[in-house]
This record gives sequence, C-alpha cells and structure tokens, in this order.
Amino acid sequence: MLEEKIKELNTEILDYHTHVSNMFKKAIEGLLTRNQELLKKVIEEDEVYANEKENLIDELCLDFIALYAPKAKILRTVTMILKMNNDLERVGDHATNIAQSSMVLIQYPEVKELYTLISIMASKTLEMLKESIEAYMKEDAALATSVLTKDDEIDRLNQEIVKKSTSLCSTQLITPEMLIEFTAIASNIERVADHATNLSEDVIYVVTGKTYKHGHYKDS
Amino acid sequence: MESIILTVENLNVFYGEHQVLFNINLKVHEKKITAIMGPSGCGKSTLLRSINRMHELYKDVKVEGRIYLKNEDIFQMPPEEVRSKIGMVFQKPNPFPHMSIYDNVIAGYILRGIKLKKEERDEIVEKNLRSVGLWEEVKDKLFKKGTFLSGGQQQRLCIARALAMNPDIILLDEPTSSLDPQATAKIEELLVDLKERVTILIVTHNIGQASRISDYVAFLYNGVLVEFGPSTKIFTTPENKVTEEFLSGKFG
Amino acid sequence: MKTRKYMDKIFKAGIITFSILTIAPLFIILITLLKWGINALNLDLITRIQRPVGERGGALNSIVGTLIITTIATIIASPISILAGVYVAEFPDKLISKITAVSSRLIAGIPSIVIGIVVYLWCVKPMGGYSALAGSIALAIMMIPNIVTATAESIMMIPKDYREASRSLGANFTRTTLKVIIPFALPGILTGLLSSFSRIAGETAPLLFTSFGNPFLNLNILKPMSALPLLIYNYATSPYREWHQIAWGASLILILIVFLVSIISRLGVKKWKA
Repeated sequence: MLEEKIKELNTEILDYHTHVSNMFKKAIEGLLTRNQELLKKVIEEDEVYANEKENLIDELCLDFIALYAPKAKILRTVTMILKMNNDLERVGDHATNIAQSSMVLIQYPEVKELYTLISIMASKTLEMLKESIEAYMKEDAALATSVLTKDDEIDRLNQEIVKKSTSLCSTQLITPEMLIEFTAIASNIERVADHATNLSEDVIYVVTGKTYKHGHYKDS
Repeated sequence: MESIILTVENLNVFYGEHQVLFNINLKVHEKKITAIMGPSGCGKSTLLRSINRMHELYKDVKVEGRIYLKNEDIFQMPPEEVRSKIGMVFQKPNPFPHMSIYDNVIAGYILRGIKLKKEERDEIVEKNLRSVGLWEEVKDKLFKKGTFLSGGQQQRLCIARALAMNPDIILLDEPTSSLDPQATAKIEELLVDLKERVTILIVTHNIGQASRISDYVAFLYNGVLVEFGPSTKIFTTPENKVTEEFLSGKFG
Repeated sequence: MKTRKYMDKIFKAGIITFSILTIAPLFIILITLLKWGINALNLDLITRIQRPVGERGGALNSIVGTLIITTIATIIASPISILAGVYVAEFPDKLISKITAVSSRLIAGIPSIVIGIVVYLWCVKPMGGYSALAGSIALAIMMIPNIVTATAESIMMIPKDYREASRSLGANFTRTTLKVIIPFALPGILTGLLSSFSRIAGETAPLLFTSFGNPFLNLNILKPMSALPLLIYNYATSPYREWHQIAWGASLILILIVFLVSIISRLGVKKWKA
C-alpha cells in the first residue's frame, strides 16, 4: 500500500525537478539566443507554477506522514522529498533571477567570451542537476557522490567569470551595469549547482542512512 | 462527483434510562471507507449497530431519529431487507461452525431461504472467496468445516459471507482487534481494495488503522460526534481541540 | 500435630469408603441381573410371546410393546418440548415463558402413578378402553421436563455471536432458530432426549392405568399393549418359577435396550460434531 503512495510522491517531485530544470535551461538559452519572449515566459508563467507546485508537494508529504506514520527507509524518503522540494523551489527562484538579469543584458550587444563561459558553467550545472535526480530515482549513492565532486569546477568557473567581467569593465568594454548582471548570473548558477549538491546529499541519506553533510559523512 | 449513500439524522440511542448517543448527524460517502473512531465506551459500536437495526434484537434499547439508505428511510423497511443491503462483520470472527466453508459463504442465501441453482452458488462462492483472497487457500477444502482456519482466515471468510449478499454497505465492528499484526495488515489491504465494490463503515479504536485506510473519519466522544471530515484534514489539522487531544494520545 | 495427620488420613479413608458405598448398589444390581438373567437369555425369550404356564413363552410382545410405546412417547413429547425449550431460552422475560419454565419443573415432581391415574381419566375413559397410545401420552408427559430443560440450556449456551451473525445477514427469527440455533444445540437436545428415554423406558406405574398389558402381540396403538416393566411386574409377583426366570431375562433386556440407545446416541452425537 505504502509503495503505491510513495510512487505518487516520486512522480510529483520528478515532475517538479523537470520543471525547474527547464526554467534554468530556458533562462540561459534566452540570454544566449537573446530571446526576450522565452525569458518573459520564465518570469511570468513558470515561476508561478513553481511556487504552486512547492505548496502541493509540501501538503502531500504532510498528509503522507499523518496518515501512514512511515518508518525506516520510507520515512527517510518522505522527509527528504520535503527537503528536495525546498531546494527545487530555490532553483526555480535562481532561474527567475537569471532570467531577469538576462532581460537587462540582451539590451546590450553580445559579449562572446563571457557568454561562452556562462554556457559552459550552465551546462555543467545542468548535468549536475540531471545526475542528482537520476541518482535519486535509481537509488545510486555512487552517482550521487560523483555529483559532489563537480562542485569545485563550478566554483572555479564562477570566479573566472567574475575576474573576466571585472577586467572587461575596467577596460570599459562593458558597462558597470553589465558587470553587475554578469556577476549576478554567475552567482545564481553557482547557487543552482549548490542545490544540486544538496539534492545529492539527500539521496545518499535515503539510500545509505548516512548523513553526508557539508563535505563529509557524519559519524553515526 | 461523490455521492452520499447513507444519511444519519438526529440519532439518539438509549439503553434503558441511560442515553448513549446524542443527536448524531452523519453523511456517509459512497464507495469510500469511513472510519468511526474514539476512546472506549464513546458509543462507536452503538452507532454502527443502529445502522443495521441490530438493537431491535434486544429489548431496553430505544433508538430515535432517522436513517436513510439512498434516500429510503430504513425504519420504514422490513429489518430483514435492511440487513440484506447493509452487511456486518463482527469483532470476533464467527463463521457458522456447523456449516462448511462453501455453505458459510452463501449462508445469507441459505438462511433467507433463497434458492439458487448450483452454477449460481458455485459462482458466488468462488467470486467472493477470490475477493477476500481466500480462494487459493481453501479451494480444495470447500466442503470442510471452517474450524481449522486461522483467525485471520476466519475473519476473511466472514467478510466474504457478508459480501456475497451484494450489500450497498458493509459495517465492520473492530474487525481486526482480535487478530495478529500480519492478519490485520492483510485485512486492511483487503478493505482498501474492496471499497471499489462496496461502501465501508468501520469502527476502530486504533488511530493508526483509521489513518491508514480511511477516506473520511468521524470522531466520537462521550456519545457526541465531535468532528467529521476527510482523513487528510482530520489527521493534519483537526478543528476541534478534543480531536487534537485524542490524536495526541492525551486520552484513550 | 499427630492428631491432625491422623484426622487427615481418617477423612480421606472416609471419603473413599463412602464413594465405594454409592457405587456398590449399581454393581450389586448388575451382578444380580447378570447372574439370574443370563440363564433366561435364550432364543425363546425374544422370539416367543407370552404363553400360559407350562408352554414355552417369551417376552417378544413386551419387547415390541416397550419399543413402540416409548418411540411414540418420544414423537409426541419432542416437538412440543423442544419448541417450548426454544421459547424459554429465547424469550426469558415473557410471562408465558416464565410460566413454561416453572411448569416444566413442576411436572418433574409429579409422582408417575399420579400421571397414570390422570391420563386414565382423560384418555382411557373417553377412548373407551386401555391403549398403547394412552401409555405413550402418559410417558410423554414425563419426558417433557428433561427435554425442555436440555433444550433451553443448550440454546442459552450458544454465544450470541452466531445469532447476531445470522440476523445480520437478513435472516428472520424463525430461520435463525431453525437453521442456526437448533442445529447448534442439537447435541444438547439429543442428550436431553436420551436421558428422557432412559427415564421412561422402565416406568411401570403409569402404564398400569393406560396401556394395561396384553398377552398377545399387538401392533395397534389404540388397543392395550404389553411392555417390559408390566411383564416384569406381573411375572415377578406370580408363583411360577418359569415366569420368574422370564422376568429376570426381561429385566436384563430392558437394561440392555437402555444401554444400547445410550451408546448409539452418544456415538451419533460425536459423529455429528465432527
């Protein structure tokens, strides 16, 4: 009986994950292809849906716990779905922020170097997001752990974008306004990667019962 | 769209001078599981037994109020007709010991003097034993008396017996309280499956059971219906303080 | 200290002794019967009817008579007693039920000879003569208390669960009683029938005024019929030794009939329960 109910919850969280991942993809794509319509859609429609979805999943999890008093793995799963729900909502928020910054940047001409860096950083982050949910669905703790190792690369790319855009600004190849938006986008992408890391840590907890928080296993 | 299959209106029940149920008003949704829960002695069984007019077997019990099954007043029908439409399963499994398993399933027909052809009988027996998950276990022993069955199997046989009459509603009075956890789990799963076929009204003192299987919950306390609503609401955000206290285990 | 130990031993010895004393009569009777009756057991006894002294006679007409009279008595007594027992058990609060229960007990206390005389007045006289039927009626009256009590007690022992289960399926009172309650109570009821039968098989006094006796083999219940107790009474008080022999033989047969019925019934009940 419980297995059926958990499947329903999993379907919802997978759905949510797909939605916010797409928001992120569209926000970046909107910048790189300078597509204002796409960016508007993210800000006006997708964000609303993301908030509603978060409330729905919260309620479903609460009901599940109240009705079925789950134990052991199912209990860990439900509580982690609640936490993942939270992380995914934040991903949606960051995607919206990226879309808003992009709306400003596409008023200006393309800056090839920075666009390339952003593209690389975003695609690696998207991969982390994808693998973290894959690890959850397959209950693959090894895959989840591998996601955690990719975080460093994202941090490096973030710093590179900041350095590059600062230097471009000081040589007046970009305006200060553009500098702010570029750093904001890089920072938001970095936060998305961070949430992907959180998701992976949650997966490890569900599958192994061990808490892997803040870079190391908690001794239980 | 859900429909209401049973309506209880202003039900008051007295054991002699002593009033046990106070002005109960309840609507039961069709093909859903409604649980009646509450501490011991709160009147749950009394409420249940009012619905199939079991109180009329005993003098000294006075029932006032109205009960409608699909808009028909059950007190205007012959009691036997009411009971053929509203079946009951009791706390202690009670298959008839002098009848075989086969006969127990169709006992309702035998006892009401309804003649059936052999093919009809066979079909009813197989269909209902399958519905309760007993068919494979007893199909080679249909003509033996049911006394060798375990408690859980006997109770499932009683459920089959009630189901065989194709009732609109089945009333269950703490059906698993005398069974071990495995048998209990099997019956809980069975009830969830059965609600596609028949409306279920179950009395239980076990909050966990009520929360696991019910769609709607009625909380009874000291003969009063304190709160009624969908299970998801009652178990997460009950409106009444007494309900809250009961669910928190403040009193049993 | 020592006296207490002795008192204990004396008490235990006393209990055992008195137990033996109560069993003793049974053994004495059985042994006497066997001793005197075994010689009388021959083919003549069960194949020949009564004959005047000197001719070879037997107890056939009495054996047949006892079987017929007791069977008919059972047939008369059972339905009314069983149904009365059902009523007493199912509706203990009703006035008629209470009266029935009390009456049943009172009947048990009426001396059998009194029953015989009353049946003489109410059956033999109007019918114009002695008859086996009148005898059966008298014996039936004596059977009532045992059957009513056995039925009522068996039914009251049935857990209310089964009654409720039957009613909850939509069965009415009649069907529940006939198809659930009585089958369930049947072992108890049969035991009641059996003990009633044992009681009346040997009753002499009522038959003296009703069935009276008949030296010939008679199968017509509207005419006088012989029975083993009557035979024993007449032959044992006669001056003839041959007849005394037959009386002993008849006594043994009577006991055997009661035992046989007892054993068969008990086996029947066991098989039923299985």
